[in-house]
Amino acid sequence: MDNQYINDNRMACNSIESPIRNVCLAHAYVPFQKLCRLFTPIESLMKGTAFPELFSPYAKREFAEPEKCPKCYRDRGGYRNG
Amino acid sequence: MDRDQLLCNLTALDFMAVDLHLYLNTHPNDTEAITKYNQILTKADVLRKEYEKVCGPLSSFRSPSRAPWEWVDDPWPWQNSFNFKLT
Repeated sequence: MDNQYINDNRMACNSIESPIRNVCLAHAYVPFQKLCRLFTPIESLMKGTAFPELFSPYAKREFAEPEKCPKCYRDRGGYRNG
Repeated sequence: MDRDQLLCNLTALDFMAVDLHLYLNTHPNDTEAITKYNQILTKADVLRKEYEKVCGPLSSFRSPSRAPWEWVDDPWPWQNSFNFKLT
């Protein structure tokens, strides 16, 4: 039966990229943690970790810069005067 | 310490114990961390006993009770009014 969506000469096509020869596989590396300072118990509870080096809250960001995303900027109330 | 302060300090110590426990799972030879962990457990135990003596059981199991059985007294630990405010 004809498949009207796929061109015949594409039936044998492989959608996965052919292996690139002579390259190394990726190596993940995570530095080993060493005990240094600890937060006080109350600070730990507030910050969600006892280890200062693991405390990395998401930074609050104002809305996107207009040149990078004009639509987000407009949707969030930018460009009011123009 | 009033009830909320006791509970807040105990929760903070228990939280630290959990976090140091996670650290020790990957650093089993870190004697300094083990010492710290043991100190925190001891402090938390003292606070837990003090809390339970004054305010009643924190757990339905392994917490002593006076008569009548205190566990059924409101509020239960998962109720909002039981909790302290962290500021």
